[in-house]
Amino acid sequence: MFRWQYILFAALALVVGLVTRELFTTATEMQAELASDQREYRENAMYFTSRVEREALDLLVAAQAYHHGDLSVTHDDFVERFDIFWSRLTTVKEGGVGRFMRDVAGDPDLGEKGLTVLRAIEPTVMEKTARDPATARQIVVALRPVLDSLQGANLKVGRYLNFEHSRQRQKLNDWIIRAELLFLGLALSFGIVIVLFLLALRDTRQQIRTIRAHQKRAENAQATAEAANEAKSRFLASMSHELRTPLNAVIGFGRLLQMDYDHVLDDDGKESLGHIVSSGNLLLGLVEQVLDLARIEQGQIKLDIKEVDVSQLLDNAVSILQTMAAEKGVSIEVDDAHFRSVRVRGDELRLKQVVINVVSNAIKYNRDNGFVKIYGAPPSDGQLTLSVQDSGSGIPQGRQGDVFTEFARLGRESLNVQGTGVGLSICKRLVTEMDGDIGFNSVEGEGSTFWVSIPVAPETADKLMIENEPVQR
Amino acid sequence: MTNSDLFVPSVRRAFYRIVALGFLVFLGLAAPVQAGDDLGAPSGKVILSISGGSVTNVGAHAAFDRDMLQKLPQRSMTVVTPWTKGKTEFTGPLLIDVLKQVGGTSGAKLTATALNDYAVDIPMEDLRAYDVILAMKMNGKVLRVRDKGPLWVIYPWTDAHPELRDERYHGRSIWQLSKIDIH
Repeated sequence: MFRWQYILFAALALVVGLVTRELFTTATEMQAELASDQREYRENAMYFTSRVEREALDLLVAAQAYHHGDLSVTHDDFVERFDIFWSRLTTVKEGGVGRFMRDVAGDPDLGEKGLTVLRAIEPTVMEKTARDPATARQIVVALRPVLDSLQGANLKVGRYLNFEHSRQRQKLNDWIIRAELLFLGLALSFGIVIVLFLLALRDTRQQIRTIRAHQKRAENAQATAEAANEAKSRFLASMSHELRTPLNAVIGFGRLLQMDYDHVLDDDGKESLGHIVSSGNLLLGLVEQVLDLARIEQGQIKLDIKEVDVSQLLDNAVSILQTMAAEKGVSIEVDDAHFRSVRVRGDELRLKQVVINVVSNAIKYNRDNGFVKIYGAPPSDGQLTLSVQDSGSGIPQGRQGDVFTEFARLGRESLNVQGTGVGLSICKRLVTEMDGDIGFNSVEGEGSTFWVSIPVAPETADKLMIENEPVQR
Repeated sequence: MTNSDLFVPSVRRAFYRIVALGFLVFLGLAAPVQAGDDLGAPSGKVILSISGGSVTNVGAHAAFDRDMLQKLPQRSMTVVTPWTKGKTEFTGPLLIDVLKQVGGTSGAKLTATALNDYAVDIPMEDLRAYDVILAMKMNGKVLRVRDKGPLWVIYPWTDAHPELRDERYHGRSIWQLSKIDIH
């Protein structure tokens, strides 16, 4: 397709170039033809030369009539004829049209020769003598050669002009043919332009079609992806729900056994029953988490935003995790110096869930007999930031980008630490919903510090400003 | 019997007299207008006679001698013609001024006739578009018949009007002009 267009472009340029050149040449030629002196004289020459001959004859007739006694011809009439012929010969001698005539006749002295004769007979003509046929004869004899040469010149001019006419007709014909060619050329270039235009139009249409097709495909792909994600969420939600029911039964009956038949079981039995219940609880926790994630993704979670006492919430969370920490020999240290009286805005239960998740991670991924430090910075920009530092192995640099990604376990899949990898991504979503943020710093081998920031309640913020005032001064 | 038989000779004569008298009165009324105060009778040889205008002085024509034309404002032009040698100065009244003298500028064209009976039509718009003169002198000398005089219609063939270098205008440049008919 592109080759066609280039060829057409080249053809267009060529045709337009040729047309322009031809037009220019023709115009120049016509201009030259019209501007030439030759044309001016040529046009006048035909009439002029025949008139000169005619005036000579008229003079001869007048001379004859006057001298042969024609009384209707006066001497004045006769002299007037003489003068008129004289004036014509002057033009033959001096005028541009006369030069043209002399040139064509090949007789440069044509006018002068005639005038010489007129000067010779002038006295005879001017003198008002008696009418005398002999005088007429004398005049006729004198004028005869002038008349002959004028007739000869007249013939030659006639022939020349005839020839010139055919030449001009030929030229005009050439010009007409050229004009037709020019017209054809113009029509051709016009055609080429139209074809080029149509080609370009076709191209554009094709491109538009292609773009539309791509767009359609992209839209379809997006819709498919969205549908798939929704299907996944629905699947997870229903799966979790279906899993929870039998799990609750397992845990419930396990507890019943522990309570009612503890004395019947030996130590192995008790241990097995303990495993059943704890594993059941763990599994239930995991299922709850997956269910949470699914709900969040479907936008089904409704937050109950209220003012929350941070220290109380933290005490509560830590006390729940104390057993878990003790099992691993991990110590939990809380420094609430900077947030003892601070209240934040958030959903209390969900916030507690976030804190428990972060602190339990700090315990889970800690070394044995390690420590967990929980502390806060004075609120700034209306946000309170809590930090949870652990003494674990830290997160490898290359994995840090996956920390908040669902089901990413950062290579801990093979370790005996239990988890689904959805906890932190749930935290991230919950905190974001509460207009807060969550993040971490970690150096591999030295441990990690996770932080959670939450908006401070308005009253607290005011109070903080007053408290901070002296410091600012 | 017809009505004409009722006319006795004397009555008929009286009737003719009245008609003739009426005609004379008509002529008498018309004459002052026709003669024109500014167009006197020619005293010298008539070199141009114009017919078709509203003013006449000799018969049905307006006749001009050299002096009458000489009295009009004179205009000089230096032009190049196919019939003269090099640049030539022509002097004479504007043709349109001559026509104004005879009240003949409202016509569409003139038929100009030369001494040798050559005749050509000159459109009136030529005289409005160009300063066409009735040359009486060439290079300061009075035009004789031998010089294509005594009157020669000259168009302004100067560089300002290249379009005039054309046979149509050359043909209208009549020499030895003697008669003009206004149509």
